[in-house]
Amino acid sequence: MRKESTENLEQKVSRLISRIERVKAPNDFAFKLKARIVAEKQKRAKRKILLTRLSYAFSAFAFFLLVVTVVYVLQNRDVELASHKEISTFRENPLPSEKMNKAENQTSPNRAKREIVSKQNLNSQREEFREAKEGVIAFENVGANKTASKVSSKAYESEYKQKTSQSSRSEAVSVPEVTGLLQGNFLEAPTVRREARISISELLRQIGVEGSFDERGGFKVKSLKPNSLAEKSGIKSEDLILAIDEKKLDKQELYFEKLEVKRLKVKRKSEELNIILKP
Amino acid sequence: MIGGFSDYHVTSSKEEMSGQPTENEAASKFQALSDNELIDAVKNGDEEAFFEIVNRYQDSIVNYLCRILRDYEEAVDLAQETFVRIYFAVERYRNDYSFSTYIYRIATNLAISELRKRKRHKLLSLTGLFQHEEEEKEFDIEDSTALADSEILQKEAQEKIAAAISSLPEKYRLPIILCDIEGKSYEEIAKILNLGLGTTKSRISRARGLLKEKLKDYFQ
Repeated sequence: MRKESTENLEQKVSRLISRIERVKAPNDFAFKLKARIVAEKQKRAKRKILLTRLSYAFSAFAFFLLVVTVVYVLQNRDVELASHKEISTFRENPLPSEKMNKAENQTSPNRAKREIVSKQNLNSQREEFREAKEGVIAFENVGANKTASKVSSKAYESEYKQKTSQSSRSEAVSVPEVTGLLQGNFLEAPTVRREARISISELLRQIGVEGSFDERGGFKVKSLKPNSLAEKSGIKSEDLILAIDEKKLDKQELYFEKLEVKRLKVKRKSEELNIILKP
Repeated sequence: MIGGFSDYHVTSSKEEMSGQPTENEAASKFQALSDNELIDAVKNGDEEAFFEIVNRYQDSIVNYLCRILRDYEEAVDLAQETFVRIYFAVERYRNDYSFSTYIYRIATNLAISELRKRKRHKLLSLTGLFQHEEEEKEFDIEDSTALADSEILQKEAQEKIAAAISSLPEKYRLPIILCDIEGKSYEEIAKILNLGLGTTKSRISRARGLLKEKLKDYFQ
């Protein structure tokens, strides 16, 4: 009975509520809605443009940061590689400027200008060297024998001058250098003329000394080339070369701008000797 | 998605000129379609279909929101916001459940947000601290039109019922309005309010019980 009365009451409440007058939308509801949608569209379009611009700006900023980072990293790497590559290229190759340029080309694109100049120099040097070589061969072909070649060196000079005057780089190669090549310094001539830097080991190897740097400083002679300049001058194996022309040798490699060696300071057992190289 | 309204008006006037179906004919064409068919048409860029939906639901939504908020202007504003949201999110609408449930759900969410906003505002404002719900009546504008006694009594009764409903806690108010005023089924109410069926039924029952207490004068 009680349950039934509760249900009846609920129904009564429901009926009472449902009798409430329904509210209607105003007549201009659709019109105002249209206007609102148009306004919302414009707002969204503006927001979209703003977002697009912001995304472009952000991308540009990110790209700029990336570029700056890459440049910074490359510059730091250049500094580190410069010393390292200098040593390695001198050890491995007799044409150091070429190797260094290649290394620079790979690591630092911002040095393009310097690279082009150095390449041009290198090419001109090669060209000169080739021309000089050709000159020698041509001259040897012209002469019947060595004596003839010595006599007719003037003839070669004039011929070479004619050749070089045709090329744009005639000023780069001088006649005395070419004559120097004729006198037997054929392999050394380009190195001298280019005034490239040369390492201590290489320099000593050229005078006939083979060895390595000592941990305490100086260059330890291990062997000597027979009939070499060093052997003739009195240097012996197990000698410790302390200085070359007043330049003290440390335990690390050094580089010279010149090729010629006149004096060596040598430590033999306990005594120190000054050895003058005799050509 | 859909072209501008100015374009729509231009094309409709052109259609009239060239003997194409008029606006009224187009409207009658849409009247035969179901809600989901209309939504498909809206998705295909038919703006008239959208306004047919607006036409179908505007009164119900305004009435529903007005009963929840007890503020006609606010209810109209939120109803428009409901339709704007549907318009811009129509691409995302799926036919998993009925469009009626979908639109009521959006309206409910907006109404709940508005009620919470009001609550916050009331807490923050100094007047809200000392003002009781009954005193809010003071701000209502009196209707000065002359009415018959029975009409006055009826209007008064309706005011009292509306006040009793709006005095219910939010969790009882929404289901009772949907059930007894909007005439929705329990299942649909459960979907709109995202509740279980049992919870919905018990809340409606509890709401009726509370209303019975508040409106006991009308049951004697």
